Amino acid sequence: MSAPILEIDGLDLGYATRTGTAAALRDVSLSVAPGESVGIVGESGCGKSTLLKAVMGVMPPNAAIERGAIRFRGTDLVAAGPDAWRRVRWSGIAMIAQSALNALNPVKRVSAQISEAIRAHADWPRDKIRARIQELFQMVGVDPARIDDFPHQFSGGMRQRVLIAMALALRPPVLLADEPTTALDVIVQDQIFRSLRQLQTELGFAKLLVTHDLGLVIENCERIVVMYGGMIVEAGPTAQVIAAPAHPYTLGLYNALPRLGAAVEPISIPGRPPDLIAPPPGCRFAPRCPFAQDRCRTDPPMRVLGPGHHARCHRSDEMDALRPAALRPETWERDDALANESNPDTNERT
Amino acid sequence: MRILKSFIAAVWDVPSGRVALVVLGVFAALAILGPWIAPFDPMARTYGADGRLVRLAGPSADHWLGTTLMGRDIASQMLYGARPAFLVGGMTAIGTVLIGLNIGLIAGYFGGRVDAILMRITDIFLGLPFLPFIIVVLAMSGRSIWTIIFAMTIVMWRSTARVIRAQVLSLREMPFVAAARTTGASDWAILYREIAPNVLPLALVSTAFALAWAIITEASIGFLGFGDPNVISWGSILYDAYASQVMYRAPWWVVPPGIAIMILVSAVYFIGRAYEQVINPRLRAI
Amino acid sequence: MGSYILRRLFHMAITLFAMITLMFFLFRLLPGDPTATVISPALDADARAAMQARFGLDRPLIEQYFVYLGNLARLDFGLSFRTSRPVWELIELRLVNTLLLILPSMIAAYVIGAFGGALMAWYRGGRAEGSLVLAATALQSAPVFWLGMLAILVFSIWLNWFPTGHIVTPGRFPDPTWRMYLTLDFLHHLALPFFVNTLYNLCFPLLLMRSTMLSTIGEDYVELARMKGLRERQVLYGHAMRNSLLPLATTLPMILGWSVAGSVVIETVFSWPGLGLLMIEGITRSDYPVVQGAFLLIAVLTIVGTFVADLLYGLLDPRIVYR
Repeated sequence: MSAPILEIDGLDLGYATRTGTAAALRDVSLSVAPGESVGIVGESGCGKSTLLKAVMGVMPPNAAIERGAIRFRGTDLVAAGPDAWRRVRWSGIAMIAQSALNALNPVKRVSAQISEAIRAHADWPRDKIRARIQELFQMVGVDPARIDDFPHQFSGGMRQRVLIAMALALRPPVLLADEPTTALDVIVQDQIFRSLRQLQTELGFAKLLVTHDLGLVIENCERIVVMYGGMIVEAGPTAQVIAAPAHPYTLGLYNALPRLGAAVEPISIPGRPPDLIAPPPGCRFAPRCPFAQDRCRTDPPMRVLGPGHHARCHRSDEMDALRPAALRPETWERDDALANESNPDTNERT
Repeated sequence: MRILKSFIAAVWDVPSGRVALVVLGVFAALAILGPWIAPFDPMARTYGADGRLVRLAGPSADHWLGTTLMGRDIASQMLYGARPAFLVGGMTAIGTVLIGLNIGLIAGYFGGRVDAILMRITDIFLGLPFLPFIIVVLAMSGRSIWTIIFAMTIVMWRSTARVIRAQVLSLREMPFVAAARTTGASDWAILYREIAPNVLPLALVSTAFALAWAIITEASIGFLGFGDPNVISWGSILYDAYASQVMYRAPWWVVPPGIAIMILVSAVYFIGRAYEQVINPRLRAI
Repeated sequence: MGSYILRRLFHMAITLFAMITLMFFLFRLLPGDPTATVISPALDADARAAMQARFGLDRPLIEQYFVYLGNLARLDFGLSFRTSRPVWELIELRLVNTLLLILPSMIAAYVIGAFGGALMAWYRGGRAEGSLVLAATALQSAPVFWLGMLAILVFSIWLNWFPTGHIVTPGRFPDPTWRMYLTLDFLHHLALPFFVNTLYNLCFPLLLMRSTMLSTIGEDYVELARMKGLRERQVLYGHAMRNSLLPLATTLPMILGWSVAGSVVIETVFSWPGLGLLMIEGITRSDYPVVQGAFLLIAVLTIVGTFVADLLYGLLDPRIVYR
């Protein structure tokens, strides 16, 4: 395996709030090899969007990286300082934003918005920039004649393609995608992902996809990272994780997945993600976990289960025995009051 | 009343709003109690032991804020002046919002020709020069406090009407309006039972800003010499000071009325903004 | 777009016509016989009637109205009751004086307000920003004439830096000419009212810009601009501020009309011989044709200003579709 292009190492990130510091990311480590596709899944509020923003270095003013490194091609961006980080943004690591409607500035022409991204990193003549934008539009399947249109003149799917074109403007070796198709219908979503896969084969960028939809990750990524409460709870090759999930939360997400033709109804996990200002002691998933034991009140170790496959659970070695129970809906049916006990605060921090 | 209570509760939750409410309360108390706690008759001339008029005396134990050119006690005038500020400001704000709210509701909801006509009328009023118009009306029908309220209301409802109309235009398309229509509710019932409660918060913000603006305008009218000659207001105190041509020897005569207006109006602005923050959280600075 | 402008022009004409009509009858309702102040009571009845005929006041009201309309169409605002000179002559000079004070100070207020408000929102949450909000609110809450009085007290009386009022030193230009605007004396007189008016009018754009910016900063496209690796300055000016300017820019034309109307107060404090002071003089001397003329001029400014504001919005925001 070649050296990772992007490497997140032991990242801790906190949000200062009026009631205390929210531990939004804890000990997050993750590496992405060139050309690889990695998917991060989890419910909203689990820290996946925060992680992407941290990698881009555009956190809100009340957020601070407390510990850890974000290495791009071996250089730690956190230590390198804001200006070095700024130069890596978009040319090294680009992002396909979540909401195509709001991510484009409504009062500027699309060409202007792409060209300013190019000009921030490269000193190209005007003609070259325009030619590049037209080429990008061609690549993502939008009529190159429309580069001077305003965002509101495009349909939702087209806007998303424009955002992809914008992300590819400088041929970044790493592409982040944050729920890139949430606002779109399933058919358009499918088209977008198909062209994204195709572009990846052509251009060879590494892709880090963030979504709450496990199905999308299975379809698009070679590796899965499962996040819960600001921590990575399980990570591994997609095939292995799906064949043998080693964390009850992964089991829960898998159960919640609607399966075509299967007799089983999707099962949802009761309860809510933990309060990050005062997280439950030990395993953050324990209050919602049907298999929780007393020892789950202590921090679980990261257990290695196979090559590249590890999970953060006290009972991951017994998982083979627990999995059949996890498939039964009644296992997850719990007293809701109990499940919510540790989380009286419904404030969501993203 | 219930809406007023929830309004105050909402403003109270914002720190700056809480301070502003307290300030407003103190001013209101002074306005009510003013005539009783004022140490002197505000129009009485003060004569010294030597029988001469105490003109332009600086602040002292007897005259906290000194005396005017005619030997009148400025502190007492200040206390008497709080009432017209509240009366004129309050009545104008209420009148403004009542007219503006109804015109905005009707124009926004019925649309079409009704909207076109009402908006043309609003345009005409928007073109009226604000202060000059009020002064002409005062010159025409006499300088009384009621004329001032009337004239100010006539030129102030226009902005409220536009704000409310814009809001109604978007509310009109909401599902709950369609739902009310399917139950067979009449247009007026939908307008006043379904839509009006939803624009009330905006109307309350409008009231606060109208109040602030009315207090300043009332002072300006007084300053220009078109105030009610029988009423002592902060504006008229400043007019007397300005017209005396000696105000520059007596800062204690000039400074207090302006400070009072500034604090009172600031409090009203902060209350309006605090409530605006509550109904539109995006305005909040992190 | 073209048909939209035509329709708006038509609306504007209706509004203007309604305004002219309203004002004509409003001014005829004013109590007191305007001629009484013009004509010496010593004059005999014949002479008085002749005077009335000169102003056209002997004819029926409705006829007077049509004569008035006809004159207006030729930009004839009538004769001043007091001086018997054409109203337009009087207004022209005064309008120039007012605009020389109001225009530069409004432009300064908007430019400073836009940048100041943008920066306040950008560096939000600090103690300095909080005090600025408080100061701007207090300034906005103070009556402008009082600020003027304080400024005169401090800068003219105590420090003796600036004259207390007037547009030039009285007596220097017995007959107002264009030349007086080119003197240092004029600038010296302009400084204090300009400063006070700017400071006062600064608060509105400043606070509006700040609150618009606060919501713009949270927009996804501002975050994306930063993700693209733009410099902070580019994100601030090119995206956050650029988009926040929309609501502010559209208030400018309308506010301009309003501040010409509001110039009454500042002109009174500084004895600035502008349109506002002319109106006050006209009202106190019952010289109604003059007041009516000034009124009409301000109304036209405001109505045209509103129209320009709407067009401006369309230019600045491509999402607006004219129908």
